[in-house]
Amino acid sequence: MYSDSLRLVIPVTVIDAARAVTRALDPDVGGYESWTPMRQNPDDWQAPPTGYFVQTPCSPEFKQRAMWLLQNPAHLHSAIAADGAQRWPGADMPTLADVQAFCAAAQMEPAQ
Amino acid sequence: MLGITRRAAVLGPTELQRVIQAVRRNGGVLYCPMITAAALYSDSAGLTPITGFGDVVGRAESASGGAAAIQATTARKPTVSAQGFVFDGSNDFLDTGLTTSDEGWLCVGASSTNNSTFFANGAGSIPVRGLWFYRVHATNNVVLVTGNGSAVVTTTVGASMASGVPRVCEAQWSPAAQSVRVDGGAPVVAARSGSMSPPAASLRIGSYIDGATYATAGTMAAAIYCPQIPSDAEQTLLRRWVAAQQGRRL
Repeated sequence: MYSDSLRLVIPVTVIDAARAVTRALDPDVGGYESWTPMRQNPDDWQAPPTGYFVQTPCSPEFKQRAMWLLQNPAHLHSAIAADGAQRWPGADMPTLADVQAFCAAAQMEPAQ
Repeated sequence: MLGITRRAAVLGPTELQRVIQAVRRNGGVLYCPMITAAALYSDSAGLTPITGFGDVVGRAESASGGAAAIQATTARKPTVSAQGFVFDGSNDFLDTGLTTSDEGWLCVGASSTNNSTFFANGAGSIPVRGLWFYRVHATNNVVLVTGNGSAVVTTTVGASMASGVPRVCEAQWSPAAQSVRVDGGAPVVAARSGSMSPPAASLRIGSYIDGATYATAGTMAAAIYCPQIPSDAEQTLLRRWVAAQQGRRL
């Protein structure tokens, strides 16, 4: 059961690492697509995004694990590498520096 | 389907069989979380059945056969409640993989608290090729929009949709005309020209369109799409059945 929710907001600069993170954490195969673009004028869908967000229902345990990983980039990087080796052989993987930048930039917000 | 029981419907199993036959006759699909025959899974591959209300839905089989509606990204999956699929209006949708044609009919039982788009081809603003079918909270309208690459036709049923009240919205379109109606009321017809197909993207159900803001949270009790237009009698049957899934009698 998904009794909790998680919403993260990131700047455009870390989107590649962010996609790799959600690809690894999503138990399904579409985690890479999790991030939704935000725009100054939301009606202007062709404008370049000003940032991205992800919002998802989740279990409290998943949220707790995600928050812990965000505070521990080295462990998050290891988790991504392990998942990549198992599920995404050949896919581009972020470096530790990329994951550190993502963790530093990601902001948690109340779910909307 | 564990944890999900069909609500006390106005119409019974015999009507359900007639509904499924009518949808099949017209080559269509029927998505309804209250039908035990329509298996729901939390993963897109259909390996993990849902366990109860509140679970996310990654795959919803069509009760009439045909394409399953799928969402492989957990953050974009709706949840399921006693009222139906619950779309968060932020980014949730299910993708049927189907494309619409110039002769088509769709029907949806929707209840929402704000703007809701419940069927859509395309992944942008007003569709270049394809259709939108949505409810505009600000003016309480149901709007059907079709596009054929050069022209967009909008058909509106006005001032009939109080916010949060369940309604059955129906639309049909052809190269000559398109129409939309609410709860079996008088259809509002608009002339259209040209060919709508092929659309830019497959048919989605949900309350969200990529990059646009015409939708927020909403609940869908049942959704039907037929690539050909059912007979008037069949439309009446399908409309009544969808309303029954909302606990209403039409």
